[in-house]
Amino acid sequence: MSSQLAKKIDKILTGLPEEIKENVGKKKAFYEGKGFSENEIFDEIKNLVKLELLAYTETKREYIGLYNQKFSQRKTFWYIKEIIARKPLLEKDFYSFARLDFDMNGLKALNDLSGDYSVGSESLRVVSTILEKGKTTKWLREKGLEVFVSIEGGDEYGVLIYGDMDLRQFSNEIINRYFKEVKETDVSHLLDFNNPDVRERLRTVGLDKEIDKDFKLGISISVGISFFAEALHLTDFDRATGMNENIRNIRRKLFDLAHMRSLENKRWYKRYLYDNDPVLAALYARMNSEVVELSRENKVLKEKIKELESNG
Amino acid sequence: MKSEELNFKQDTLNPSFDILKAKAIELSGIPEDNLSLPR
Repeated sequence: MSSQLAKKIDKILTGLPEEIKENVGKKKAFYEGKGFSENEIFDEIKNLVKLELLAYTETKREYIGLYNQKFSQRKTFWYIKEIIARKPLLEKDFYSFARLDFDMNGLKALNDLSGDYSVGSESLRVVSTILEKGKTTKWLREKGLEVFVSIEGGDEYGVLIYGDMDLRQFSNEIINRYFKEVKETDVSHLLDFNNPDVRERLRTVGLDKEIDKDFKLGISISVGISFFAEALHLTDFDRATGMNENIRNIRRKLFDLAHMRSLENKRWYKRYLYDNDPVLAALYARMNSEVVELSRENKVLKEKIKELESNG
Repeated sequence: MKSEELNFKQDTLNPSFDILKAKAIELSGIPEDNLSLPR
């Protein structure tokens, strides 16, 4: 086997579970023994890996093609192993691996207003497509970075970004790009606010007067980011449990940190909406019109205070 | 509301390179456990 074929196979196997690697190794030896060409062997290996990966991918329509959390955890494990084996180990290496945690906002509102869970599923499909094939992911991949997207709960997603560069320089740009990309996606076809059933549901939560018939409901995500450097720094090692268990502890910190920041982001965004878009805030929270009115009054009062202050 | 108005900023920890390097060396020095497969 040429070194080029070996490299190509190694590349698709990087980070995959050992059991997959073992199966691939056996098949490769078999094909070589049967006199297959290198291209044929590579095609067969690719197909085999695809089949093996079915255990690590979601097959529900709205998440199709995305990896599951199990895969994301395994990939993280191997990325950490790769980084600590780098020689020489430079500062940038510790920031060359990041984890993103996403949580969709407003899924409940979409499901409840439409009275149809397929509308919520469609919005999940939109988010899945953006994360997997959207502009931000493409922008990252064009930098030579590996980007893996996984679905980790009903409306929770994870993204792993790995490469050979210090990702801190893009940290805020990454989260803002993803947020804006989802926010600016037109999903107005998902919910018709002129539909009598939707109007009725709005009435029951006291929002029918607040929301026009041509209202367009967007979707958004909360996002949090964490770096390998942070997780490493926060993990206390336990020699008695062995290296792999310690890597799993680092992984836990990495995931927890991104999740915690995503929750912080969600709280921040809720406050932002409350001040700037009380109707949408109410829709998300399914609050009643009284709260919307109070929120509006609050905004008017804030502006008044600002005006009074500026007038000395 | 326009999303251009929003600009999130997340502060991250920036431990010193010396600390990180020392921890990486410490981790590399821990023997692999029996359950060598990642979980």
